Amino acid sequence: MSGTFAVMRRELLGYFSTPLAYVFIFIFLVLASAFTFYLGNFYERGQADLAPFFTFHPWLFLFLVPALSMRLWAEERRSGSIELLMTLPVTVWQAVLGKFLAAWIFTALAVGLTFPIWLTVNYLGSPDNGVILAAYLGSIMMAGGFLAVGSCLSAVTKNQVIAFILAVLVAVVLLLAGLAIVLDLFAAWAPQPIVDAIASLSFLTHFQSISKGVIDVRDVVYFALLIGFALYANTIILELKKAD
Amino acid sequence: MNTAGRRRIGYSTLVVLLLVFVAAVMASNTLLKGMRLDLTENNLYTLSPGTKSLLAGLDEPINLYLFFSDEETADIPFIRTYEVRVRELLEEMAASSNGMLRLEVVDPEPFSEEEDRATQFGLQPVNLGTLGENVFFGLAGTNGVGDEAAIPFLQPDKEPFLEYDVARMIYSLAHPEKPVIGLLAGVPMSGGFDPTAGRPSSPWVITQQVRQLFEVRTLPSSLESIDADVDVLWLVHPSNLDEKTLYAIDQFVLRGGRALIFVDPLAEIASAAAGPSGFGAANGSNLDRLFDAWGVEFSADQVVVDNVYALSVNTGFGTRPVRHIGLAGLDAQAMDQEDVITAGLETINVGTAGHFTDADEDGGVTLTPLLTSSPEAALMPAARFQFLADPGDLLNDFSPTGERYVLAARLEGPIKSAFPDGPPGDDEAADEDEADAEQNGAEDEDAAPEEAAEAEASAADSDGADEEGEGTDAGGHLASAENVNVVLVGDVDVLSDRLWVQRQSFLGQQLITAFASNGDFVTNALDNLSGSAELIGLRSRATYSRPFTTVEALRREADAKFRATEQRLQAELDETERRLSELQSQRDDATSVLMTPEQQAEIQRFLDQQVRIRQELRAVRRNLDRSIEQLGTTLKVLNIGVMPLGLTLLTLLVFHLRRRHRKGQR
Repeated sequence: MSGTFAVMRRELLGYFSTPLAYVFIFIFLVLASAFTFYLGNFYERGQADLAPFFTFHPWLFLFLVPALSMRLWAEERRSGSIELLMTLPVTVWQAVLGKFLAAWIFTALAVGLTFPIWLTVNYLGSPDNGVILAAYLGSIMMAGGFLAVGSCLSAVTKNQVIAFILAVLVAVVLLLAGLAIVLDLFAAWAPQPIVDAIASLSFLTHFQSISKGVIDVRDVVYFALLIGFALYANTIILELKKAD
Repeated sequence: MNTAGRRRIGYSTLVVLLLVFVAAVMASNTLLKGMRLDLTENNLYTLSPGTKSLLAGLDEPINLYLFFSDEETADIPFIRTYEVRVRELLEEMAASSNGMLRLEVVDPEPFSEEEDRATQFGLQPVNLGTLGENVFFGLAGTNGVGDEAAIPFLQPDKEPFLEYDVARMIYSLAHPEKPVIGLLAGVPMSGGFDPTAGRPSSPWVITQQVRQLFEVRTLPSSLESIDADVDVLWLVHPSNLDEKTLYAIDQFVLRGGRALIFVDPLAEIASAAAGPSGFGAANGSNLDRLFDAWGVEFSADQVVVDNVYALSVNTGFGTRPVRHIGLAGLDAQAMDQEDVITAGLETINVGTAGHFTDADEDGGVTLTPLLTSSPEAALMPAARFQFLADPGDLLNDFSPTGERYVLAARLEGPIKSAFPDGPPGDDEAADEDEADAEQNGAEDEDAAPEEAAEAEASAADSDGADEEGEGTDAGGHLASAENVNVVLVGDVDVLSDRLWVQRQSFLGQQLITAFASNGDFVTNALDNLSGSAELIGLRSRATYSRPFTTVEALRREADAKFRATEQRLQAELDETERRLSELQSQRDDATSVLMTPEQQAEIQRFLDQQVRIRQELRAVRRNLDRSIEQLGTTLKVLNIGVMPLGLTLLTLLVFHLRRRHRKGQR
């Protein structure tokens, strides 16, 4: 555990020593609130909830999280610092978990910094703050899912751009699986259980059901499973690459 | 192991991992159903226990079709918001029905088959939006044997009762047979002989209306027991009921039978029915024998008079209408808006009503008011109304007590039998068993005459759903019940035609128009009582929509501020237009076609002024929205700009400090 913690600390400090972290948070904050007001018509629709704010989270994460996760392992492998990391008294699993947790905490911080919108909606009316809390939790869990997948794919290559593209690709698949366009394609020929299974793999369906204010165990379990499996795959890939 | 071998194992592990992941997600989806935490403030997504047990008890599949015009409502957000709420509630219901409830969302596009289907179900499109699109937003349902039910349009303002309305619909599909209402009336509600006209009179409108919705079974005024298949006992004006009948009613209620009871200190309709003299009929009615046991008190000789809700009556031809404080036109404020029976009704007219009080000190039963008087009310002896020549005289003796009297109420909670010693008319046996009855609240089999045996048999018949009684023994006499569902109304005249409908003869046809909601009140009460016991308890729920209150307040404020200006300018404009037309009419068109230059200049001046004022008016209109827009812009800027800006400054500061720190180290 101490190994995980040490890696996490080193990584977190690393984020703030480069401008990258600030750029990431800056873009996230600007886009999240601009989308809410302009695309989501937050003010014009006159409803005291944050639905127009959270609707765009999956799409923001789709591009921003891979940007964050692409360097997790690709960078270490390119610069060769992975060799150094592996000589330290931490297991691969601890290193993977530590790096992931650092990135997750960082993303959670970015999400948390959107709190002015929460103040705004409470000023404008009396929103259901339980729903907002649930949606924030859901958003952070979804970010964790994106991160874990991105971290895993970042270990596949030494090239950060390739890592980014791979992560976006997989994330798009995971997102779109819940959209009606995709489901309709399958619904035409596949039996209902298969369609349901595809839908159940989607970030969107799980995030949407949390963000309406109900924390269903299945949604939490989905994200936990996704993070767990992706990180485990991450360690396997690292072991494989070590063998190269 | 060599590298290639390890690789193979590694890759296959990855593939297996992916498959295990998919399997685990699917397994959790089916295994972990129903474990959830509803964080919404009003537990919007948690069905009430009543609905849940109704859904769990479904044993025949029921199909629900939610018709919603998707495209037509694209720019009507409030309808869309409500549609999400409705759909999620229906999905939630379907999820807790063990697959018995199937939901299908249908988009009835214009000229499509779906639109025909919607029309077949009796759904009505409503004109909404700026372009007046025809919007379908209704719910239809079918059961296995082809019965249909529908809510033609789901009104957003009926949201507090959405769950009740849907649950009621599902219940009616699951129990398609019409509920049986046992009517026991001391007034000729089903028609009788009209002594004034000397010919048979037609049934009251209320009776006809109820007959359309329920199976009404008229019960004799003296009976030994009430059939078990009677869902609701509708007891109107019970005067001089004999012991056996009272016992039958008592046992019916204790067995979990529901009752809607109308009593009155002075039923004017009863004296009207008895003849022009007004003698020979019992004007007052009470059920004190049962009320005492239930812990309720009714003012059988006192009438509630109300100065706020008083109706005006004509005392004779050519005279001015007089306020009659004994007649009340109750409005929404006098009704419980949380209760499905009275919520949304507009007016209920009552005549010389009595009031109920909760006489049960230990709080066994709860008396929930449905109709109350205004605080400006008082009590007057019923005799005062008997030969009242001028209702205006009543006001002379009127001094309000400040109390709100309960004119109608729900009675719920545990009650005891009014016949603790068992059935009447069998004194010997009752005496013998008195001690026994007191000890365990039960009766012995020997004491029970035949109707008790019948009651037992019928209790066994009544599918077990409503058997709430306890303290029963083999004889079937019930001494107490855990929970009763009774609605009490302190007025009988509320049912009479003259207080709520107008009959007109039109080409030999009777036209009936309602001017008060008395009929809805009664059908709502019967409908509610005849539903499952769980449904009765379903109260209104909090609403889902949460508007921007700050913006609304701003809008109101701006509205008030600018309306004055607008009115002033409008007056100015009217004046200008008036003068302009005056001037134009002064033109002597008949003699001269041309205007003098002065006239022309004057007209031009007026026209300019008119344009200026119109512009100013538009500016006022714009101003009305400006403060709201300004707030929106401010919030946009704050939200989009402030955080990133602060972050940038912070970053610069941090980097600057770090550099200085490093320089200092060097």
